[in-house]
Amino acid sequence: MKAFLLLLLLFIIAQPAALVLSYAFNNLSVYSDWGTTIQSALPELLATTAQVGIFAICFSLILGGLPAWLTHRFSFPGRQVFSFLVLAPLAVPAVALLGLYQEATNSEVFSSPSGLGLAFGIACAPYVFLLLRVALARTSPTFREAAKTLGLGPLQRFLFLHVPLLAIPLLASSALVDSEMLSDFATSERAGVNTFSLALHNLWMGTQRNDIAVFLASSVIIALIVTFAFVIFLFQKFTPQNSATGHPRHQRMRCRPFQATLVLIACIAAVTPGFLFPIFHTIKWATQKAGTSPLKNLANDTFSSVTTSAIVLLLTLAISLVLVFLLHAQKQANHLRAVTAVSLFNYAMPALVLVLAFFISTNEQTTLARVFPSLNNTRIPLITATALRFLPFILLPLVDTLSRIPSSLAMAGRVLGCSEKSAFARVLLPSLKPAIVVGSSLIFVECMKEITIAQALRPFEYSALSLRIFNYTTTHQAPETAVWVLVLQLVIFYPILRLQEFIEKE
Amino acid sequence: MLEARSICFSEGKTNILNNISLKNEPKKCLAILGPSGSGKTTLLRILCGLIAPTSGTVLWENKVLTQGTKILVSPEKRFFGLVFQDSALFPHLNVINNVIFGLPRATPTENKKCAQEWLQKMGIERLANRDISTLSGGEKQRVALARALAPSPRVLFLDEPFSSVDRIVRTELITVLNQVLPAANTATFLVTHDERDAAELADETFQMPQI
Amino acid sequence: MKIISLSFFSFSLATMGIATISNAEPTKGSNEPRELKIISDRTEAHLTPIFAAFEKKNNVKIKSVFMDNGLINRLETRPTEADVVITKDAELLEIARQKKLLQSYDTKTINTILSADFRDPSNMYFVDAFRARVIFYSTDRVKESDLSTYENLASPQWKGKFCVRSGFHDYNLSLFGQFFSFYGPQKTKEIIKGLHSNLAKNPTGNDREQAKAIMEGKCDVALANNYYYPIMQSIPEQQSWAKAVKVFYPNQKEKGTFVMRSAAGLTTSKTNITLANAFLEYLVSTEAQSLMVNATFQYPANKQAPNAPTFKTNFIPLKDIAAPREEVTKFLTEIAFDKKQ
Repeated sequence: MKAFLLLLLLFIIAQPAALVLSYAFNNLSVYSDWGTTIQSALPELLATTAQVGIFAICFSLILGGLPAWLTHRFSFPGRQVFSFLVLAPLAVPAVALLGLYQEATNSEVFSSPSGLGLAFGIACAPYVFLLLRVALARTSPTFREAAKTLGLGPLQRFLFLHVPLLAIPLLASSALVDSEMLSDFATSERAGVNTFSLALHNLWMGTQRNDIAVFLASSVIIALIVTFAFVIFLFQKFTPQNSATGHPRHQRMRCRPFQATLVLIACIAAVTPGFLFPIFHTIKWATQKAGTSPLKNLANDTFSSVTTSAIVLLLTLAISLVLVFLLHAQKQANHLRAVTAVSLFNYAMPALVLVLAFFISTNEQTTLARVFPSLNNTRIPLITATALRFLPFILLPLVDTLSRIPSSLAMAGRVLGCSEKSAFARVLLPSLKPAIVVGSSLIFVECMKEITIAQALRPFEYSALSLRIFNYTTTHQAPETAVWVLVLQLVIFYPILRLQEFIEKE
Repeated sequence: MLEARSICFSEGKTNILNNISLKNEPKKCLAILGPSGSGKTTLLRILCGLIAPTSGTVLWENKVLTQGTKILVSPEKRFFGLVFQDSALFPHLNVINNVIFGLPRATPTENKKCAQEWLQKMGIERLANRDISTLSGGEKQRVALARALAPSPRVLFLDEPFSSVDRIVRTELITVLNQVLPAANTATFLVTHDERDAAELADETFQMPQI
Repeated sequence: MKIISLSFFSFSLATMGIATISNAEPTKGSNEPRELKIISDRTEAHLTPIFAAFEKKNNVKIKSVFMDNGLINRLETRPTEADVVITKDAELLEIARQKKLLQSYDTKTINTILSADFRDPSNMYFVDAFRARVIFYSTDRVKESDLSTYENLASPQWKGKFCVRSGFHDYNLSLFGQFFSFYGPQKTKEIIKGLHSNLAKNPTGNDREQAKAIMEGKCDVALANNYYYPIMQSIPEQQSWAKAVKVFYPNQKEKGTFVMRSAAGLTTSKTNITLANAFLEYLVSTEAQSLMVNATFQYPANKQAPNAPTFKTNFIPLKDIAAPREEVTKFLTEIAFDKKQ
């Protein structure tokens, strides 16, 4: 029964990537029609995508990394509020952010690779902030002290101590930023910058041929397999295998007045692009809308979004906890990591590719559709696709926390009278609570702003806040966009608050 | 009486335990001595039913608990106690709730009273409502001992309980154990690499053979 | 407290369960409105008045899903999900027809109302409205006499002065596809290359943003759909854009301006054919066509409806509009059309 359940879950998680790859291998003839065209376009596409990716990584490291260091290192008035504000861009889809900057500044910069990179950098800075804050909290302050006693100055300590120590979280941050960029064609389209995901979209919609889209998509998947293998190799080689042992608690430096002023200026500068500037314009435009035409659909969109996101959250929680329960025993920890790595494919590949896989799998000719003819008319395909996409957001924190829980804890539970299930519920689950809170918050937030999958797989009469925001952004209805964005931010307020609390506890 | 007969355990091509046989009776303390890597902890886990041996038998009062690779009686049904090297206290529970954890689901009042008695025996009744992250190493081990002994286990396993504490705390813990163990109707297995621990606590010793 | 939490949790779970499976087939009662399912990539606000009028007249509930992209791809995998499909571009329905995703509509009424230019010869779909792909030009910097044809836009006189949205957008794919059918592949590629070399900036934004770019002096001429002009005039923030440009209908001395055609048809679903046909007939009625014109500023396919075009139009036969699309896409990819040289 356990083995069957495990295989079923693995099948579901791996299905989208496997489906796309097998479809591609069955349609290799497309290469003879399109091989030359794709080859001629690929260098330019990859160069542009890499350019945007580099800009996005740089901006996200500055806008997320600097606040992470400031809030970790210093104690200053408003530190916790500032931490919350850094996370605020989580609430806004990247396409809406870019649209806002385009409307507000009217600058050509936001129709260029650097501008697109900035939009992604702002949108992804909260993730970088989260990852680096946790990494910094787990780094013993004694390393810095040892380096000081060995005569290393600040720059040397930064280059030869902090950067190597933070190499893995920095790499993970960069990978996450690039995944977001790779998957999001809508923002690239808005900027008019021809990235790989936009090219994939254009070729698919232009030719109306699934085989061409799948051919391109499979090249992405294969590249991802190679990248993941390399990253996993690095991770296993350079990450300490022992669970974190106790070290002196980090003491924040109390700022003198002048220092506090400098720190506050740096904080304000860091949150301006992601929070202050957008919120100012959003409120300005929203007040233009107030009292004009009625806000029809707002309540319905909000209800749809919240219920869909909540169901996705429950589904991902259920899948991940079942996986942890089935695989958490010591010898199977590697299996759990392997499943997590496979689940990352669904996040790393462009959302359009996931949509394509779901179009194929929810085909009316499949057995599933014949047995459940109403399936496509419900939110189930949309929920399943979204859950698969964001599953890593809860698996990764769980795997990370599990690796730091001593195996003796579960054994103690067993010896004290708990069955396997009972030990999982009474001993392991409570220890996993912080990871569950973080993962749940991130999944809820991501679902609320997800656009590509919702557009393609929505059932009849379905709408959502993010879809409406996308429509209003593309038709330049700034006041309406602003109102919907504000409501979205209000709904996501609580999960972001829980994330900020988690960071403070770490 | 807990008895192990011809226990063998190997992982891949590595033999960790080879034909180990021992037994122990209630109210007696058997020290299992051996250097690091000799398989002492592995043997303990086999006796607890947490892992299965490659071959061999574990019996309690001549009733088979483990036969070869089959664990016939699961660990939660053996009514054994185990104190870990790193104490393994549950971080989400405070001190008294850690001790209550293994007690039978009787009335909460009875469980609490029993837990408080054991904390008193360990000399740490004042720590009852403390978060375990605020405890010192010695205090954690005392809580772990209270937790293991409160359910009145038939057998108590101590897996290198003094390795993570200093000499003074070690002495205090040995004193507490020498006070508590004789009164409990428990067969005690002490796993240690330190012969002084064995000398101060154990009635008999068992030397792990060299592989 | 526990009971309240449990009740709230149970209620939430029940709500979510209902939300998940809602939209599944309803049971039909004699007084319940009948249902019609429509899938479209048009703007929801443009079709809503027509849906509302039909619902009221016929005691029908229309359930719709609006997709920005991927409509035909979805239809390919779910051919009977909807009863009616309405697209902003007729070649998508021509592609659907070629993929056997449509069935013949009831020709009795529709074929008497619509001329042959607006009907697929095999009666699988028809055009319900159209608009022209015109040239917006700067009122300050360009004289009307400077303009003539689409091909002329590709000439060196417009170097660095031409703006357009992404070449891969349906509107431009449709236009370039019509070039292929009309001018032939060789000349079309020369025109597209010429347009590409005349770009003032990377093709970004939508048609109205090209008017905005003209207003800002970034370019002097742009390709856009003609109905955006009155739309801009009706939006306060965009009135200045409209003031900065005028509309020119190309190729009036030749065969006429190319048009973009919206279309509608029946899917292969058998469950609601009568009602679906009734809706299609309504779509071409004078009443619905008037609603369409008012909402979208397009031209009606029904010649009895108001707002007939006053310029020469070049209708490429519907059967020829879809074929070049793939080749156009390929060519645009090869020359990296969306990147200014």
